[in-house]
Amino acid sequence: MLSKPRVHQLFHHLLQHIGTLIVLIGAYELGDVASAIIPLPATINGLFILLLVFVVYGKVPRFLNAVIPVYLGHMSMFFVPAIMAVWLFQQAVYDHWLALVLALVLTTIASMVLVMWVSNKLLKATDNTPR
Amino acid sequence: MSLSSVSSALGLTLSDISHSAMWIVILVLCYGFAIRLAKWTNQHVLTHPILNTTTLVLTFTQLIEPDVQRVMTHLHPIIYLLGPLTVGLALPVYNQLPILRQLGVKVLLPIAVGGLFAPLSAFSVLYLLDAEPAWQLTILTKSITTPFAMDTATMLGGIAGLAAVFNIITGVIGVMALPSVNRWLQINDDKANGLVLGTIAHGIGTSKAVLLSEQAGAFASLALCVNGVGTAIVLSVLLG
Repeated sequence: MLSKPRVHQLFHHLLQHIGTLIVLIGAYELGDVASAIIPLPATINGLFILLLVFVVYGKVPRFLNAVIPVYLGHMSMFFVPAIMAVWLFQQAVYDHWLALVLALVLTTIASMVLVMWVSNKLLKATDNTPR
Repeated sequence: MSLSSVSSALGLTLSDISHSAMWIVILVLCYGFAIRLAKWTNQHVLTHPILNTTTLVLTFTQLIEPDVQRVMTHLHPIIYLLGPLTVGLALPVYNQLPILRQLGVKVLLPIAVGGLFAPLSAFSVLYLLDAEPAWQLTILTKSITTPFAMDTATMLGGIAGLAAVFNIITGVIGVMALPSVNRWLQINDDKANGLVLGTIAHGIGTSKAVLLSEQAGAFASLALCVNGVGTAIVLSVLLG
């Protein structure tokens, strides 16, 4: 049997999740509406709307702070249905494998070297500045 | 009101709903197994839950319903929820604002350099090797966080599923190549590592950076957010 405080706790969690989903879906749908005027993906518009709310409010509401990290931690699962589409491009991937290896491996490593070098130059200067 | 009248009002048959439910359960179970596997191997990058969950679900499709496109339709509720969850990235972005205010251009510049070089170099390779235009547009999103990449690729006329695949391969390569890059440049600094992982290897890199140190994790999250939002905006405005 569940104890009374435990039931209260579960109910509290449930409300936190429902509240968070309402906020996230609301911001996303608003972002989608805004896409008609601002030519950005609905997710980016929604993100800015929510960010603006946080900045204006001065902090993140407690229920969102508790639930959003849990959702973000399991975001990988939500990518899977879309990635399954790669199954439909098998032949094309075989046809282009050399171009893809070059475009993905070489350019990724080259970009890493570049960013590492630039960050080191700039951030080293930060460490040397007297406080 | 019975369930069947609700479902017909929504234009769905009961069979649609039960198929959706079944595939969502399969997805969740596969994901549950994949995160266990990642834990057992101490979060090795090749056991990233995205790779294993996708492989497992595709294996199930071959056993139960070989039409992958139909299974994707059944999983539509999950595809929809990715949008609102991505909006939740507003929370880490908000939490990174203090670092951004403090260091300003010193962190923005490396992110901008990587944010421009990574997509343009990959695009040039595919362009020079004469790949299809849709692929050239899709690869532009390879270094930004997966949900933005998929959304932006669709907006540009690329292919969302392919964007996710390019993206994940890029993230895995980024994590695997980091030690060699450190050795080669003789630089091994938490801030620089964080910026590199977040800018180039997005979410997969960020989860690696968190394991390196708290500071690397914070810089990686900052880079992920700035590059994701920045690239998505630039690409949508220029090409959308």
